[in-house]
Amino acid sequence: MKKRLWKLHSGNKAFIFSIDVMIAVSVVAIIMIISAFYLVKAGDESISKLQTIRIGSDILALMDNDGTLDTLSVEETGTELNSLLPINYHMRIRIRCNGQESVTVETTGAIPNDRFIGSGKRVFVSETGNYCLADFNIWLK
Amino acid sequence: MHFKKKSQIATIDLFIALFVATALVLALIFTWNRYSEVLNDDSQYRELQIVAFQKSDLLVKFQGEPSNWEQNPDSVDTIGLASSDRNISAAKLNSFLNLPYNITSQSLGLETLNFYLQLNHINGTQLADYGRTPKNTIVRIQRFVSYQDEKAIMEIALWK
Repeated sequence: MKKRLWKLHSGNKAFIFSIDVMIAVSVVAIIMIISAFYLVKAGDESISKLQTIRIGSDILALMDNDGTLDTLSVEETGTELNSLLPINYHMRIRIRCNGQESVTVETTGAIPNDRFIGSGKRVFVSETGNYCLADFNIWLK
Repeated sequence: MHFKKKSQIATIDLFIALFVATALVLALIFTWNRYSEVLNDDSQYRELQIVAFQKSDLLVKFQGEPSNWEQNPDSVDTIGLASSDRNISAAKLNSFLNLPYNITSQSLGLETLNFYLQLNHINGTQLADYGRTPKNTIVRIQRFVSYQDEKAIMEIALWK
């Protein structure tokens, strides 16, 4: 007596085509779902990433132009940052000058690790003639 | 008789399999076309984004070519609105606003695209606008600038 592979209602005969199709459908469905996921994911992020970095870079440039960075003052830099930064962003600026302690200004305490963080640097010369480096991290709330 | 029944089951199975396989092929063709459209749209969108950021960089960071083009706007080769990095010159902006659309779009390399530029005070008050009114804008970006010692936002919209 032949041993049955599966306990089907109609036995194990004549279901080769259906089983084959089921396997094919499963494989194709998995491929389609994965490709759709990556397709949607890829389109979402690009504009916000570029825009995020540009906003940070623009804000740092404006602060450099109006002399805010030169002051190395947490209060002044913080006030200027809050007046410029769009409400849906958080930003952290760190300024380091030769022979001086670094100054850090941030709109929130911690940098998240679950989203895109834009970053950049700007070199400037302070009023006292020191070379300074300002770097920023910016992210969506 | 017993043998006959088995053959019928095999035939029914074949038809079911054929039906499912045909549906699968049709679904694949539809999905492939849809993905092609989405990828094409996405590619165009990305290209527009890059162009928008390049042109906005050109406008807010550079003086233009020649650097004093605002004195003779008809001789402009490349338009730039900055007197220095992210600092918009009022004279250059006024000259830009008075130039015909075809000259500015040619100078910015946007002949095949439509653009609209708006300068707003940081509080939202409109300071200037130029270009065609956007209908189905694909890309709209904002740049923070300084204009007449005030903070402002320059917005550029691009579409095909």
